[in-house]
Amino acid sequence: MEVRIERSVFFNSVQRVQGVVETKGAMPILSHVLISAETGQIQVQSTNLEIGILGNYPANVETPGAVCLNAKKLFDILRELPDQEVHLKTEENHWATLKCGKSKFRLPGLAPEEFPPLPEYDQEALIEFTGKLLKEMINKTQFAVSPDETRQALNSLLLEENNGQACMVGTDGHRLAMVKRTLGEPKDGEGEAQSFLLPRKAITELLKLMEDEDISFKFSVRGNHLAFIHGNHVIVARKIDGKFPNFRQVIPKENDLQVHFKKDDLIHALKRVALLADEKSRMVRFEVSEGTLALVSDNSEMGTANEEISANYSGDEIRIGLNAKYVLDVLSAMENEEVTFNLKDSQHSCLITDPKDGDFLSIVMPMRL
Amino acid sequence: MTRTILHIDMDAFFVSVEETLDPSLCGKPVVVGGDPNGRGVVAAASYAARRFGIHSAMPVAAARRLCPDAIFLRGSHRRYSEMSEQIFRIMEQYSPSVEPMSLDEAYLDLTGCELLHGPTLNTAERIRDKIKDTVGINASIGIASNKLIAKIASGYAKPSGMLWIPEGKERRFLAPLPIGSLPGVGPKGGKQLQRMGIRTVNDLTNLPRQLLEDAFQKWGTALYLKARGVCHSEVEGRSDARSISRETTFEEDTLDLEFLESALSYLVEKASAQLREDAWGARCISLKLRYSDFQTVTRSQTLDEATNEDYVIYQTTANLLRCQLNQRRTRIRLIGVALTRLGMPGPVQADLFAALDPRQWDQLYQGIDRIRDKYGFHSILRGRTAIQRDLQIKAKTRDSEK
Repeated sequence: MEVRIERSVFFNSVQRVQGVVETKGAMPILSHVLISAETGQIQVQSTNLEIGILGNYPANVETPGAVCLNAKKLFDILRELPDQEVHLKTEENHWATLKCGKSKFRLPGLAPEEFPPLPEYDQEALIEFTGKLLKEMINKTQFAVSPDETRQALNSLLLEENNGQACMVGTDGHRLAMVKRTLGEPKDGEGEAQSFLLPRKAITELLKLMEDEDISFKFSVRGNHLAFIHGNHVIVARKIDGKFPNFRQVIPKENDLQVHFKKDDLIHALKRVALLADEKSRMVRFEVSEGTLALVSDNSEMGTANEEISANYSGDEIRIGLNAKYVLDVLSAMENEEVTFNLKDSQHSCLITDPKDGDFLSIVMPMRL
Repeated sequence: MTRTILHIDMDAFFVSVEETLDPSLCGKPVVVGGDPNGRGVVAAASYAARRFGIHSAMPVAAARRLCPDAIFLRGSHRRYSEMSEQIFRIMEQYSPSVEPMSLDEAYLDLTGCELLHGPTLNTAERIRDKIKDTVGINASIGIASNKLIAKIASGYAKPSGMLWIPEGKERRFLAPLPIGSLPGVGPKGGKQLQRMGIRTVNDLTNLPRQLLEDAFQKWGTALYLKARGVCHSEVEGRSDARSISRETTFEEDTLDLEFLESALSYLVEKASAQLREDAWGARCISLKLRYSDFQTVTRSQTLDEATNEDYVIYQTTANLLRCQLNQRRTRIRLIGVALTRLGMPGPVQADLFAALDPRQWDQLYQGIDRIRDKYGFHSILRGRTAIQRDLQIKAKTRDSEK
């Protein structure tokens, strides 16, 4: 194999697959990227056997072929190189020489045949998103996804599609975020609902690929694998075993006490009061009374903090303990200036809604005071 | 620097408390513990009762056979802990370092207090008199340069006595004592030592350290040091209990999973009841196992949030137990549970998908604790704990059939 490629293009291609490279696994091949060259383009891929990523890039291919190189080392080298053409050539025993300007590197490689092939994926889209819409839906739900990889279902986003309507839900068991959006014209007669679990790790990689919001995302399923196709890039992820909890059941319907705030007022005050919240629980007490919300943090050894902001509310006093981080996550995912808390009492969940967007909601469970 | 450590031990504490509350009991054989018609064990016996051969930890039924005329009382943990609290408060007037070992005994560090309180013997006498005057209970005191000797000395001084072992005389004091008088040498360990021809502490000091360690590992090291009266343990103040632990040595080494789990369940119930009483929660939960060859292993797990719920603690330890049994299948001699990283249970994050309101768990445990307060610990037990009691009864009936 012999190729000439722009350093910036090569660097980008290697950077985009770094996320799934295993640096210290039992299989050395997984710490490598596979570079394969055919007429006019190279393909760069990496995999951790759960998720595989590949990208195609234009290159001047003199001799087609393939090689596996250590992903981290290649990345570090490309980062330091000057912006000139890179010349990559394979030698015997899977060694490769990389030249750029006056620099020359000889790198030991592995046999490309040993690289685990990416599972077959379907080019035909089941669901198609515009980049912008997908990004928005992910941003509005991803923060609620559990980081715990042992709880597979909660470690994923739920994607439901029904007749041109998409619904995305993330939850970690303590909070939940849900957004619904219209994808396009409803197709008559094809009203069968479908739902998928998108692994958190795949979502993270997806967001990294998303540079151009105008290029659409195709989502497809074949056998045990999900695929996202975005321009010249593909992410293939293994399907998640597990059942997403019945989230519709926990969306409160009797939270009639509505409190309206200016979002930015609440964000700033909450950030300040949360500075003295207990480091582990991050609990801040929300004390709502007519016209005001008092935020109080007084259960830690750090000292006490409180701040009042004005709130549009008339009703009985309510006190509820909430994890400040959970609330801030929701607030920063919202675009509207106004935000509404829908409460019942200190023991029941707090439903956070956007008065201008009925298709977004978030639930935060209280902490027992 | 020479330390001055006191070990203060109440004489027949539970019985003495009952006597102060009902002076007509004085001088009579009184037994506290369990239901006299049931199968409880003796928690304490008055000196009059001891003359009939009754001693603590024997089945109440056996005590009844030895002395049918004895007065049997159920006892109330709350009364005892109130009394105990008063006693500890008296001790704290003499030293900031008071380490309670149970309701009725404590270590007191009087190092450097001579200038303040006068000679140690006089101070000890004053403490004893003050306890007697205030709560009406006799205490025995051992005084020595470390906790080990002080404890043995107080046992030697009972009842209502005082014994001072000056520094340097520890070995002479210990030498003639039977090995069973060393703390940590129970009936089983004692028997094993006796098989090696060791009857007194002096016999023990004649054994080289290597031999003891080869035979008993860590316990061997401990024996070697104890026999020489060496103990470096500090008197720890009582405000910050660092751990709560319960353990039990089986009458017979076993590998019966059902039995082990049941014993574990009982220990967990004991430890977590203590935890709730002190209003603590534990984040780190450890399981301790000692195999029949004396190898001891400890396995721990740290939880996300501090807990004091029996169920959570039991599940954690039971998982550790199963993992450990998979690794090594040797009969087990001792099982124990330790709760560490204690802290106030902070605000608890409620769960979106929980089937049950978490407050209901709180109410359940509060209810259990109230029932136990009133009717004794064994009045309500987890099903798994109760299995053990059934197994024990079965074992006993089998024995009697033989």
